Amino acid sequence: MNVDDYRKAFTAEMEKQRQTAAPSAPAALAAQDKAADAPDPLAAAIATFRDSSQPAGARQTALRNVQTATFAGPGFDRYRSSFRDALRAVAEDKNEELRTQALEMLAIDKDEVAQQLLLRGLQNPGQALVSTAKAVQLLAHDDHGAAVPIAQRILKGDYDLDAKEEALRALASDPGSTGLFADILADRSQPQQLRSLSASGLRAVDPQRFTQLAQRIIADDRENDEVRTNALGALDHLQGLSTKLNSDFADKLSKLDLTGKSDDLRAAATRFLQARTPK
Amino acid sequence: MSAAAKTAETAEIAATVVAIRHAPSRREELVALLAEQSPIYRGLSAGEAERLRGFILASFEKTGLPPSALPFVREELQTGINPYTVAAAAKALRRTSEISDDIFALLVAAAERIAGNDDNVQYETIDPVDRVTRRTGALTEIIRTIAASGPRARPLWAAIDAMAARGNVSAEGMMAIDLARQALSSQPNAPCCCTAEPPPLVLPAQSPAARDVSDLALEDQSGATFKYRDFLYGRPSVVTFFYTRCMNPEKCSLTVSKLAALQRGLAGTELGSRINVGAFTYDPTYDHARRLQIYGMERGFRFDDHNRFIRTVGSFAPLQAKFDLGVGFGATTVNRHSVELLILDAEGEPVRQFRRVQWDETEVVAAVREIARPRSAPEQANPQSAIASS
Repeated sequence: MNVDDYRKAFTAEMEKQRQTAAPSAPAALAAQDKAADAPDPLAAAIATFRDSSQPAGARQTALRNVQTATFAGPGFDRYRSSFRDALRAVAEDKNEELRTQALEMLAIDKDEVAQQLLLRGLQNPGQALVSTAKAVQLLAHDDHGAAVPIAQRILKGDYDLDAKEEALRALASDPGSTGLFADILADRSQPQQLRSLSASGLRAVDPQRFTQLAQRIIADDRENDEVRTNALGALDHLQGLSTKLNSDFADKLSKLDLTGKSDDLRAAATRFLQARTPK
Repeated sequence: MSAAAKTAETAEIAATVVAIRHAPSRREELVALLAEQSPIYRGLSAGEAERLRGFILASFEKTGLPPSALPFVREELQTGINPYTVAAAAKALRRTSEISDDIFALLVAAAERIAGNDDNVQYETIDPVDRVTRRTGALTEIIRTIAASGPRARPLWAAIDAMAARGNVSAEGMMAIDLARQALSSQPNAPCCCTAEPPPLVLPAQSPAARDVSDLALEDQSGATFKYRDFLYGRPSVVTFFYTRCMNPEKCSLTVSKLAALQRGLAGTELGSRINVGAFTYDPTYDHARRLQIYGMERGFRFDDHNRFIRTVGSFAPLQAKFDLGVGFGATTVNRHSVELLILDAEGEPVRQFRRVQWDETEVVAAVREIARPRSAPEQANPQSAIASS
């Protein structure tokens, strides 16, 4: 079945379900009644979703219906601008769940209104619509946006661990963050999660530097087991690592004393060595 | 610069733009602000750069469109995908006395492109979060310009008819379409200036040749490093510009695909073995050799010593300065760029340029043929006298 046929079949099935489904709550029924005067069901659903006086359940149901309709492709085009406007309005709603959903949908679409709202929240926490971590995560959907400088600022500032984790994820493909990744990965005082994320980031943007640093960390008995395990895993799957380097390092690794170390680290070392043992 | 400082600076520029809307004699100042390399876009995200650009373009509805701004409007209608900026370009044409058939065709194509991604827009304030000012659909704005352009032969607006028949535009858009169909099908008052050519783009005052980049370090898609002169001296070259993270399918992806088609076309002629074909990335930090290779191969480009995709090993700035390239940079990557193809002579200097248009392969081949022909003595003495733009 091609995509167009699949879409048509899916839309028809959803419409059938929509017509036969019983309302989930009296509130939803009331909302549907109120919307009955609207010219068509989809316009009514968008209006219900946007209307902050409606019960949250009715608004969630309306949002699901509209989301389903977006799958119809060009058939949804005439509602696209009004739905986008509704999402922008709900992005500042009092209901946290709806607000977050709206921001997520807009952010995936690289919507500038959502980005501005998130940036204002980061600049002025009193206006924040979501947590710092969530804001960074949403801004990172746009690699032509403002996420990178903000993420770099968060990593250097006094922010919670969740925010810093998201900041590192936001930098994952930024070649300008090589030094930052290397610094965090090498710094034993940094939380293990941040060091592991930095290992992934460094591996992506500068495989050579990652290789050098990872080998040093893996060979260091004073290092955190989890960081060593993650670094070894990342090294194991690194494409383009030269065979000679692999065999040299495998030789060093085979001589390491892993007694008393975590099961995960020993398993990672075994996997790495087995993959490089001549058959 | 902090985000707050950038916002304040943009607000200040917007205030100046609003002031110029009330002083049409200053409208050329707005044209100068449309160059992607203008400092007003430096450090902005792609979304912010688009917004500022759209805000400036829409101002021509108030001031009237000077001929020097027309290439920017055409480019936006031809390649833009952001509803805000494309609708602004359409609004810019509103006070143009006559809209030629080729620009009309661009408007119709823009309407079709934006119909699937419509958005409600306003140009009174630059604040995207403005909740007060009334908004209109971007598609509606484009259709209104089409309607205002005067009667046309029906084949020219068949696509508008088709949009009406499909009915998959907003109620507001449908109303605009109905009005447009009435306006387009009424009796023409006078023959249209259908063959009017856009004026040439104003070239930078500084001669590109003034910048010497012969020693600029470059790397190609295979990882080989060399200097500018090693590749671009000795034979004429066709070069274009792109970056692999470009989000606009009407720009980099299309440019590289067309370059590959051009390369195939040239391969069957005697010119194929007498010129270089190259594509430079605007984003050399991100676009390492392997990325360049994959991007080119996926679009049918064939690599060899005279056909390369190239990144500057260090900063891109010297190359941008040499060719006055229409590209702006945000915090991490390109925030906006033009479509640019240059033909360089055997000393690596530009002798022909195609800017702000999706160039036509036949025209480029003809230009290359002209440049590759043996030169007379006076021409060789002063190759810069031959610079032309399209």
